[in-house]
Amino acid sequence: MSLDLKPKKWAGALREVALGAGSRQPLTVGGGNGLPLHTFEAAFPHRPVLALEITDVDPARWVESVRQPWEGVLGRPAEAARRAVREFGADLLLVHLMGTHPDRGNRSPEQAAADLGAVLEAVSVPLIVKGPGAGQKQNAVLARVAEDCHGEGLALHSATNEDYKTLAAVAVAYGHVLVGESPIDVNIAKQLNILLADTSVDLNRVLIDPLTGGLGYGLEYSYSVMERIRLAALGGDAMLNCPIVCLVGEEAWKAKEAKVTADKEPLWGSQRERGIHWEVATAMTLIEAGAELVVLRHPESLTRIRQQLDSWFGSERSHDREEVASLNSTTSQGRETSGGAPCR
Amino acid sequence: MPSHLVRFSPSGRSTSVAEGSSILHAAELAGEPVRAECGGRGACGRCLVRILEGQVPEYRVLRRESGFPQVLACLTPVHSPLTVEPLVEAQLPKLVSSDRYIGAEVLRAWAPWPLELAPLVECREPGDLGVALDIGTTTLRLLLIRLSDGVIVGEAGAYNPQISKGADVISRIIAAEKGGLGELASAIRRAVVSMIGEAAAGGLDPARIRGYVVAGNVTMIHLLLGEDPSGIRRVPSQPRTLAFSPVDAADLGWPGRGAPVHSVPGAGGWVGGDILAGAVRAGFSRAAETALYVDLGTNGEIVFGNADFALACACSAGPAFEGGGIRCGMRADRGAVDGASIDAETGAMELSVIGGGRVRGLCGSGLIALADALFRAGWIDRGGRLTARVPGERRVEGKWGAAIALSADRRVALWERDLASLIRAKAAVLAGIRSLVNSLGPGGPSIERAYVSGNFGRYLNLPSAVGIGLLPDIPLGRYGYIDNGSLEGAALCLLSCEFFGEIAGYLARVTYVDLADLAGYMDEFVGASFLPHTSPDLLRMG
Amino acid sequence: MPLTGLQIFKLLPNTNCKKCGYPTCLTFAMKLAAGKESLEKCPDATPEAKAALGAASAPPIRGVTIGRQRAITVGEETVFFRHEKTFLRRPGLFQTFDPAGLTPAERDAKLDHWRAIRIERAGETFQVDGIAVVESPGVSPPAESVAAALAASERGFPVAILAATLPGATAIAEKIKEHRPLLVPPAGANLEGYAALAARLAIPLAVGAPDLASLADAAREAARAGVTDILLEPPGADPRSLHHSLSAIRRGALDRIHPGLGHPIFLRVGAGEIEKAVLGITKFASLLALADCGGETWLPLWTLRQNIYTDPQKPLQMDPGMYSIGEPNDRSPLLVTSNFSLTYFIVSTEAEASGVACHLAVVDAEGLSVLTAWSAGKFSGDRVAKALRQMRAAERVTHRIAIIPGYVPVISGELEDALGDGWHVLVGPQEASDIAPFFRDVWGPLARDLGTGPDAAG
Repeated sequence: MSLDLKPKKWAGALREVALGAGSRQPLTVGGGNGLPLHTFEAAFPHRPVLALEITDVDPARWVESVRQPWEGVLGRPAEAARRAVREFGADLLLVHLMGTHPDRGNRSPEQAAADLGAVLEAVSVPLIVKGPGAGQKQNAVLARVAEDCHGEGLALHSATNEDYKTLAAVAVAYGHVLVGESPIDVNIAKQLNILLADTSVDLNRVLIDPLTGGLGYGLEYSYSVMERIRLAALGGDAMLNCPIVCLVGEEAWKAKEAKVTADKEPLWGSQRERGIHWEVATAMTLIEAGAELVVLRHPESLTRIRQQLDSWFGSERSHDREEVASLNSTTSQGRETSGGAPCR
Repeated sequence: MPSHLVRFSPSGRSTSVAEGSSILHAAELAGEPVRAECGGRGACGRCLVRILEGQVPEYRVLRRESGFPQVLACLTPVHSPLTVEPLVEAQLPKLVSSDRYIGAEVLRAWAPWPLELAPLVECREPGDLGVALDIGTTTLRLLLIRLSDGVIVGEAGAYNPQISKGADVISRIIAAEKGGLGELASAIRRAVVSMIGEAAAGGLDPARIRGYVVAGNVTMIHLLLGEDPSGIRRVPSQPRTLAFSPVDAADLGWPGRGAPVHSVPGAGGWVGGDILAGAVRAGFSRAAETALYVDLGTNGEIVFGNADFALACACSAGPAFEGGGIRCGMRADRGAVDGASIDAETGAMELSVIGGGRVRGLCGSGLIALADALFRAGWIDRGGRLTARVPGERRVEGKWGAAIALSADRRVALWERDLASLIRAKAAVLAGIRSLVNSLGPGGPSIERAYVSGNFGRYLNLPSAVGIGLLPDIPLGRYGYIDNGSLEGAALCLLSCEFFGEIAGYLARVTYVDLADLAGYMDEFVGASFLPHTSPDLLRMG
Repeated sequence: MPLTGLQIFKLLPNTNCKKCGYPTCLTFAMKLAAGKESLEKCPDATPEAKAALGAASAPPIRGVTIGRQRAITVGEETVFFRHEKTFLRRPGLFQTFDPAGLTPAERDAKLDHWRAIRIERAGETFQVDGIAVVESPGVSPPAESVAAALAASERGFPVAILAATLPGATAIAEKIKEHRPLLVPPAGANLEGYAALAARLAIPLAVGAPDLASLADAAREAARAGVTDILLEPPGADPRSLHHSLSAIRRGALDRIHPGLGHPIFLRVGAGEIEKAVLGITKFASLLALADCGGETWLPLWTLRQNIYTDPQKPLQMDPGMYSIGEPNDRSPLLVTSNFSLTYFIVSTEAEASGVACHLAVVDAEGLSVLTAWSAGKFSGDRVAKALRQMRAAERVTHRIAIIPGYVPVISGELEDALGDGWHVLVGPQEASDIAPFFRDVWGPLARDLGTGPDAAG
C-alpha cells in the first residue's frame, strides 16, 4: 500500500533580502515557500547563512574556551574578520560594537566607523553591525557607521517599536538593511514591520530579530514565536514574511551550563564540549524553527552546523519537489543503521 | 479643640475640621474627590494640592509655584482656615448633572418587550415614588420615578465617594479587609441621601418613596449593605451571596418608611446585577440572535449570548472612557471637547466643544473621536506616537514627551502617554471581546447585534470607536447604544415584577469566563495594542 | 477533529444542575473542549453525547509504556506544532550500553553510576530514563547482554533490547519479560519472528523499514500479529532524510493517512551525533537511545527536552530573583516587579536606557503582569516581602528603600510592615518610560542624602 502523503502548499513565501552591496560579495537570505528545512515539498533558493561574531574591543567576559580559537585577534576587528572568513569559513560577520557602550569604553561614533572601515578593507563578506544597546548612543553610532559605509548594504542592528525612526531614516538614506527587534512576541514583531512600512521602509530590506532565548533560558519561546511567524508568512501575511536572524552565540554562551567547568560540576562533563553543544543545540533548534541567519561565537559550532546544513542544501543550488521521491517508494535500496559505537 | 474651615476651589465645597486633621480628611468630609491610592500614607503622591489661602507647616511643602505652596493632602495638618485647590492630577473630572431623563416614561422608552406596569414595590397613592439607583465604581446615578405611571420626575448624579479609599474595586475590598468596611458603607449611603435631596429639589417629598432598586457590581452591593467583600477577590471568587434579600431603607439611613431596598442579583463575583440588568434590558434573555453587550466603564464587563446561553467577562479597561487617567480628561461638561475632525487637504483641525467657547478639557467621546481623527490624518502612527505631520503650531513638547495642543493657550493638550492609556484601555476591551467570542471555538456564533453602554457624555462616536479598534468592525447598523444599561435596567425592575423575575431566571444561564485563564488573552491584548489592530481583519467579527 | 465548546454544549442536557461541579453546562462544555475534563462527570450525558465525544477524542498516536518500576509512557501526541496546544509526553532518553568484554563488577559499576545521576534544573530532576542494551553479535547465547539486561532491570531501569539476532533477542527478552522491555530488531531484519516474540511475551516492539510506505505496512502487520505496542524506527541515514521521515510520520499520523503511522517514534543516536538527538527531540521522536555518555551531551539534551516539552500555554515567565541592570553597587536603587516576561523586558529595557545601574527584584507572580497579579492576590505586600527576603535584598543594598511599581501604591503599607527592619517603600512611576525621569528627579536627590543617616523620606 503506498502512502498518500501530499506535499503541503502555501499561499505565501518568505521575502528575499540581499545582504552586502558595493564592495561586498552579496548574499541573499530567505525566499523559501515552505516550512523550514522541508525541502521535500518546497523550494528554498537560499540556504541559511552562518555568521561569526567579532568585537571592537576585547570581550573580557567571553569564557576561555570561546576566546581560545580567537587568540591574538580579540578586540582587533580587522584581524578577527580575516580569521573568521579565511580560517573559520564564516559566510557573514556580525561586528559587535560593544566598546561604544558608555560603561565599556565609550568609544565614539567616529571610532566605530573607523573599525567598520578596517573590517570592510579586510574581508568582502556582508556585515551586520550591532550597536551597544537601545538608546541615544546606539542611534548616534549606527547613524555614523551607516553614513561612512554608505552603499555597502550593511544590516543595522537594531530598531524597535519604541525607537525606529532614526535607524529607518539612515537605512533608507544610505542603502542598508534594517534589523527589527521585538521581545519574543509575534504581534510586536508584526507591529514593528507595519510601523517601518508606514515610514516607507522597503520590507524587502528588513530582517526580523525575534530575540533569541538560549537553550534553557527561553529557547522554547523563541522557537514557538518563530514557528508562528513562519506560519503567518506562509499564510500570506506580508508584514511577517521577512527572514529571521538569531544571535545565538551571545545568548547560548550566557548560560552557566555552557561555562561552568567540570571541577565545579563533575556530572556536567567537559566544559569545552558542553559549551559547543549548547551553542549548536540552540542554533539547530532555531534553524528548524525558521532562522535564516544565525550568528555564532565558536568556530567549531559553525563547522558542525554547516555540515548539518550540507545534508539539506549541499552546495549552492536550488531544491525542488522532485527530489526525495525515493523515500516514499517501495523500491529503494535499504537503509543503514545510524548507530555509532555504543557507549562503554 | 478648635476647628477650621477648609474650602476647596474651584468646586466651592467646604467643611470644618478639627485642628490637626489632615487636608485629605477635610476633602472626604466635604465630598471633594481627592485620590488617595496608597490609603493616605504619603506614598503615592496623588493627593497633591495647592494652598491658595492659609498656612501650612513648612516641612510639608514640596515645592512652590508662583508663591503658592504644594503639599500632600494626606500628610498636611490643618492649623488655620485654608483654601485648597486639588491639582489636575489629583482632581477627578467634573460630573455633569444633565436633565436628560426627566419626563421619560420608563416602560415605553426602555422595555425590550411589552411590559405592563406592575411595580416591584407597593404603590398606595398617586404621588408615590420609587428610586432606581446605579452604583458604579466611579459614578453614581439616581432616578426618582412616579410609581403610578412610570414617569421619571427627578434625577441626580455624583461621584462615588469611596474613590478616596481606592480607585478600583480591589483597593476597596482591601480597604474593607483592613477595617474600613463601616466607613465605605456610610460614605456610599450618605452620597445616596445627598442625591435623593438633589433629585427631589423642586417640590418632591422623599417621604413618598416606597422602595428602591439598586444595580451595581457585586463589590458595590456588598459594601452598600455592609457585607464583608473579601471573598470576592479569592480564586475562585466567593461573594457572601449573589442575591441579597431586600433590606429596609431605614437600615441604610434612607428615606421611605418601610421601603424595601432590592438589589439586582449578580451571576458571579465579577458579573454583577448592573451588567445583568443591562443585558436583559438589551433583550438578551429573549433573543434568538447572538448579541454582544459591552459596558465601557471602569471594569469593562462584556456579555455575549442570547436566550440560550451567555458568556460574561470583565476586562478592567480603567477610567479612560470616563475621562479619567487622561491629563486633560473631564466629563462632558461645558468646555469639553466632544468631537474632532482634521481637514484632509488643509490639515486644519477643528474641535467641537460642549457649550462652545474655550476648550477646558477632553471627555470620553472627544478622546475617541480625536484619536480616530489624528490617526486618519496621519498625525499619530499606529502605536499612538506623534509623527512629523503634526503642524508646528499644534505640537507641544514637555517633560512627558510630545503632545497635541487643543486649546489656544496650549495648556490643554493630548499627550502621547494619554494616547498610550487609551490604546491600553481599548486593547483590553477588544481583546476581551475577541477572547470571549472565540472561547466557544472556531466556527462559533458571530456578533449579530451589539450594544454599548457607558458614561461617555452625550454620545459615543461609533465609527470612531470602530476606527481605532475599540469595537469590532461589524455593520454599523447592528450597533445600539444604551446610555446607562444598569440604571435603565434598575428602573425597569422597579416598575415591572416580570422584568425583575426575568433577570433572576437569566442569571442561571450566564457563564463567567476569567480572562486570566484564557490562554490566548495576553496575545489578543498585545495584538489589539495598535491602531486599529495589528491584524485588522481580526476586527471583522460579524 | 476535536469538538468545539459550543458543539459539546449542544450535546449536554443544558439544565445547569451543577452535578459536574461547574455552575453551567456551558462552563463544563468549554472545559471538555479544552481537554481539562472528562464526560464521566456528567451523570446525565446521553449515549449519543458519549459516542460523539469518544470518537472525536481517540488519540491519533497511541501511547506505549516501557519498563515496570520506573515505567515510561510515550506517545498520545495530538499536534504538529507545540504552540497549537502542547507536546504531551516527554521523550525517553536511554543510555546505549554494550556490555561485551566487561566484568560483572565493571558492568554493575557503570549501571550504578548511571542510576546515581541526578541533576536538578528548574524544578525537574534529570536522570537516565533507561538502558538500551546491545546484543553483541556473534556470541550465542549472549550471556553478557542477558546479564546486563537483568542487572539494569533490577536497578529499576526500563530496558530496550538492541537485538542482533532472533535467538539472542529471545534469550534476553525471556529473562526480563516482566519488566516490559522494548524489543528493537536489527536494521533490515525480517520482522516476522520478532513480532511473534513480542506478541507472545506481550512486550513493545520497534519496527523499522527502508521507506515510509513499508514502515507503515510493517507496523500494521505487527499489529495483526498481535503486538499491541509498537514504536516506529524511521528511515533516514542523513539529517535531511531523517527530518523528512519524522515530519511525514507525524503529519501522516495526525491526518490519519494510514493506521500504521499512528505510533510513537524510536531513534538510535551514535557517538558524536548530538545534532541527530536535537532533531529527534524537537521533531517528534518519543524514545532515543544515545551512545554518548558524558554530561556534556546529556545536559544539553535534557535541557532541550525540558524546554520543548514545556506547556506553551503557560505565560512567558522569568525566573524570580534579583537581576542586575548595568553594574549596580550597594547604593544603587532597588526596583521591584513581577515575573511576567514582557513586564520584565519593558522595565529592564527602560532601566538600562536610563543609564542608572540598579537592582531589579523579579517577584514570582506566576507570570502575570503587575496589575493582574495584584488583583489576584499574587503581588501583595506579604508576598513581595517574602520574595525580597529570599533574595536577600538586605545584603545587596545598604539603603533600605524598595521601589514598587506605580500601579500598586496600595501595597506600600503592607510591604513596609512585612519587611520591618527600617525598610521604606517608595512608589515608583506607573509607566516604565518614566523610570529615567524618576531616577533623575526622585531617586537622585534621595540618593544624595543616603549614607548620611538612616533611611531618608518620611
